[in-house]
Amino acid sequence: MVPNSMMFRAASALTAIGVALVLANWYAKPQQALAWTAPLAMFAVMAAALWVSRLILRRSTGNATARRSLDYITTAVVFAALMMGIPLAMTLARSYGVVDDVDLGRRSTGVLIGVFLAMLGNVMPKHLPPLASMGCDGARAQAFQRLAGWTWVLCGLGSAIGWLALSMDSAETATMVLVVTAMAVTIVQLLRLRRPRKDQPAPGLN
Amino acid sequence: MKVLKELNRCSLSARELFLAARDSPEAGVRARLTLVRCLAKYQNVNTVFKALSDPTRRRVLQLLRERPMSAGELSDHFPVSKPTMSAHFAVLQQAGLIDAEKSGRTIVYRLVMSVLEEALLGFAQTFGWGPDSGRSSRVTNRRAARRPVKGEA
Repeated sequence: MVPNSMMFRAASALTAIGVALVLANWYAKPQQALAWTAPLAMFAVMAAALWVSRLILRRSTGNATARRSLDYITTAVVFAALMMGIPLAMTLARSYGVVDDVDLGRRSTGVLIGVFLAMLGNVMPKHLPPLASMGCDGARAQAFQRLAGWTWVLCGLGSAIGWLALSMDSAETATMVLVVTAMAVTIVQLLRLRRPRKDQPAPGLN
Repeated sequence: MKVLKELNRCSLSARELFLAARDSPEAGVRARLTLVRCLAKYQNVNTVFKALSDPTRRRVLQLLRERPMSAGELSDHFPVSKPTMSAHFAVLQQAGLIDAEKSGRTIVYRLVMSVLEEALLGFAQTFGWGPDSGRSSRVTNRRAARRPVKGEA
């Protein structure tokens, strides 16, 4: 089975670019050699994850679950490589005097994390377990996932806008408040979901 | 017209598209349009918009917001035949907006809409997408109002 080639190629290319950026940073600042080994090791882990998952997918014939897992892994690698690659590129640009703005790397990473949270929330209501395997009311589980999806989308978008529009300190505080609120809402709803409702005691669809 | 015919093919590889774009400006435009169409197909956007353009399908989605329902339960809300409803369910399923699960002898449908798709549904409901959707939704509502509710008669 052939993996989703566009995303897989993007993940591979971004990992390679990340490794090149780490090596360039190492060359520019050789005195911080120890600091550059950590991102290098992380890029190596990403490359290994991509390679292993592709190998597993090739061996499994027509397995939709394996394909979905590879899609998740490639998407995660793309975002992780971007999150690490952007600050590395900014550090490199600063060390060569191309960019003067100290906060540009942190801002762009913040925006990216916000977008990632929004994308994660967007697909959350799509991943429902089979009705038969649910330990609670199907309608409540659906409502919980929809609420969680909306919460994380709004949190991610708010965070991204905050990093774009606010000052560094305010953006950090706003992101922290938004993420903690989203987590609290999700956890409270999850706990309410686990509590059995008196009028609908049977699990699954009633 | 020629470009439109070419649009329907959508079988060129990325390399062929790049070479076509490099060779002639007309082919370049065609290649870009083909690429956009390929991306649209990849993103499943067409099917989602098609599914949301019909007021009956939008009503089905609204009903499924409340809870998962069987095909029979959903059909009871509409004054249309069961094969027509099946066609609507198929379109929604193809767009990835609903999910069907077999439970004994009945098929249970449930909502699997992403947040963006749900927002699109909200927009579609507000602005009434689709050809003469306002009229058809009014007709559907009027007919549904005339129809006796199951269990009340």
